[in-house]
Amino acid sequence: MRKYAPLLTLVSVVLLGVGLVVANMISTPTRTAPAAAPAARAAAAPPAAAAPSAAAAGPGPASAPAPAAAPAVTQKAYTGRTAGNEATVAVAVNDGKATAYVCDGKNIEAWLSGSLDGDRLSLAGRTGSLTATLTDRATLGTVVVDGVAWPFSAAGVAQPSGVTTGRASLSEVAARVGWTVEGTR
Amino acid sequence: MRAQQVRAPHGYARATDTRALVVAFAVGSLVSVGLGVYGSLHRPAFFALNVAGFSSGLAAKAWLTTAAFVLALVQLLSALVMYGRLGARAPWWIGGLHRWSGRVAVLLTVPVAVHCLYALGLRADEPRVLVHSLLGCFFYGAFAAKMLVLRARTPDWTLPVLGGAVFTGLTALWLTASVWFFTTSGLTF
Repeated sequence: MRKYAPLLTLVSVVLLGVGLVVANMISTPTRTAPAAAPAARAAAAPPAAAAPSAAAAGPGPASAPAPAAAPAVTQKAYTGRTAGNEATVAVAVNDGKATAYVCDGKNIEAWLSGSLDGDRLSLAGRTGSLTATLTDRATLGTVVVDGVAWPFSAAGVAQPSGVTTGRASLSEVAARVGWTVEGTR
Repeated sequence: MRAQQVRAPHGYARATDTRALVVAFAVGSLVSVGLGVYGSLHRPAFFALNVAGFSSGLAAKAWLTTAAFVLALVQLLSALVMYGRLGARAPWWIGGLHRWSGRVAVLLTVPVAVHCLYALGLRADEPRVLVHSLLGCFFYGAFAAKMLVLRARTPDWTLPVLGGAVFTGLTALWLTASVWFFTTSGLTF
């Protein structure tokens, strides 16, 4: 038994690793959800670019009673900064839900969450809020943290290549926003 | 498995088993390269299960790695005692302490590594991140090789060298991740 103890250790490490990867794969919603959503929309409405107006004309059969317009984008991440470069702003949108992370690495930090109605983002958190308009390419608006308001702009990052550029500029922040968005589902 | 089945030929009092050594290093290299290839080919999911009780995935990872590093210090000290480098006679329990602290330490690193590989992947966009990615691959390769030489008749230098490599790898991983996280985000849980 003793003779094989190191091998047992090795095997248990491998098993734990593989088990965690499988658990992650099972619970990762990213790959299945966006694949299904555009398909449903394509069936219900003309080209994706006309999504807001199309949704106003008549929501798809599968969609729940929509309070306002359908989200302008289904799943997208944006990274940018406030106008005076006071803080970085990362916004992630997924299925009408949105999460933002504002941070300057020192004093300013806020997690905000909210919704995307049509092209309108409105998010709030314990210490701030964010309102913005959003297109596929960028989001522009105002973020308030601890009572101070800054205009900000953030450019959309396309997956998967954009994820890399987004990371290059915002590093772990983008990753954290990504996790949070997925985590709220 | 193979390393265990190999026997030194009869008649050699201290024959070293070159085959076991080659196997151990080959497996270790394959583990390192395999992790690196997976890390670069796998599309980052930007998602991973979080460990309950921490403010973020990063905080959880930073603390798990810190715990593993503390256990790695136990590893270093207990190894020094076993090799008689600290003067005192090795107490009977030191071997058990070394084995179990090592097992717990490496198991603590697994969720962290899975998160790194699955959610982020092998990256080269910053020096810190590149060094950390390569060290992560190296660490598990060195660990696998060390486990394989433990019960094989490999030359005397292999165990301390591989143990030192594992310890150095984990320390550098801790420095390039946990310490970086604590210095940029503060000591958050």
